[in-house]
Amino acid sequence: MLDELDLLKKDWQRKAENLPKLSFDEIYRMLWKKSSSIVKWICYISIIELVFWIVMSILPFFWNSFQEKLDDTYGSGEDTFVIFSSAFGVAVVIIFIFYLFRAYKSISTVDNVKKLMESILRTRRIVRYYVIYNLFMAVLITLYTFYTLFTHDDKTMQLLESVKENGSELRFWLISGLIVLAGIGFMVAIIWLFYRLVYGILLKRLYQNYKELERLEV
Amino acid sequence: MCNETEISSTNTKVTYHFSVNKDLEHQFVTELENNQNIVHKVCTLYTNNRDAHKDLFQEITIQLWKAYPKFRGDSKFSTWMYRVALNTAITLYRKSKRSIRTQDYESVIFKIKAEEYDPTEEEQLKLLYKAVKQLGDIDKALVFLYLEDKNYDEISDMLGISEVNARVKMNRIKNKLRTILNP
Repeated sequence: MLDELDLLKKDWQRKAENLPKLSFDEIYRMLWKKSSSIVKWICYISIIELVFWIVMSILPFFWNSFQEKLDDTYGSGEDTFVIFSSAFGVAVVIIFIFYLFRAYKSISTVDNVKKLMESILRTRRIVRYYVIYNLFMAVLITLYTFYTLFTHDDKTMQLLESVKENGSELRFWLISGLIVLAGIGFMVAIIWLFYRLVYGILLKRLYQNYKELERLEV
Repeated sequence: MCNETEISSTNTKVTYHFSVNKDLEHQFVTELENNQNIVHKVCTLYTNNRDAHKDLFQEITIQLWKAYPKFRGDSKFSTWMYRVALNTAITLYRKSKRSIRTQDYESVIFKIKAEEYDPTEEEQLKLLYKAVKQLGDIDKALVFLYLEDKNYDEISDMLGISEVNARVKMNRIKNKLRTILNP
């Protein structure tokens, strides 16, 4: 019995004559059309993400109240901490941009199917690390802000004193702890949801195909 | 950085590139025109209507053109085309049209299965084409390369998997097709 695929092969090569035929001009015009490949989408989204997080970390410094608060809490002479942490932040951004750019450049359509998928996934992973880093920093800063509120801020310290006198200290800590946790949870949930949405749409097929390729591979 | 075309920094180089570009364009389009069957075949397998076919053809053309400056000619133009075309169809191209249409194919398959069909060659081929269209992106690529008379060495090289894996996958596809043909 003839193999099914061989049967198909015979017909496939016969059918090649019926394929559409584009003229030189038709093909030539296509060279200038815009690509809608996922690599392009990933690139745009990565840039948006980087810009978003950079803006998020810079923005507070332009608020007067934040600046005043900063001076209040640390005193104008103790800016070294702020300068140091800002420099660290900038360094991290530069390193991420460098790695992202390198990974992006390594995406090549001339590679084999598996390698191409891997380089796309690697590019995504770098942005994911960057987002995780930012989330981690955001949580850290939130916690640190609360700590300074209770050790440096006069109003909060007064509040704490009155709570202590009332004897409802435990309840106060429980409630404020819950508020902080809920805030952090909310922030993480929003960002997680955003990721599921964007990359669910964009990369679902790629992940599926990659798994399919890897299956049986030892 | 989203634009992959390279622009040289000095003015003298830019004019030089432009004059070369015209030749390059002409050379590229001529080569593609002569080998366009490969792209059309990929489009036939991976899309289900004329609009999508044209759309994918265009995307493959763009990707080929972007990669063309790096094409050294140490492999055949057609071999190089297979890679870029498949990569575009499997990984880079994204259009949601396909998911709506696959349902059509499924219903057609079930209909034919329910009827008592005539096991003539013509009928078998029709069923086979439909069955192949239903396969996943990777399986389709394997079938495509097989139909194009590529050996397992070339197939495994193009997909980036081992030859053993390519053979195992192909056997599975054959079994899948067999069950569709002989329910």
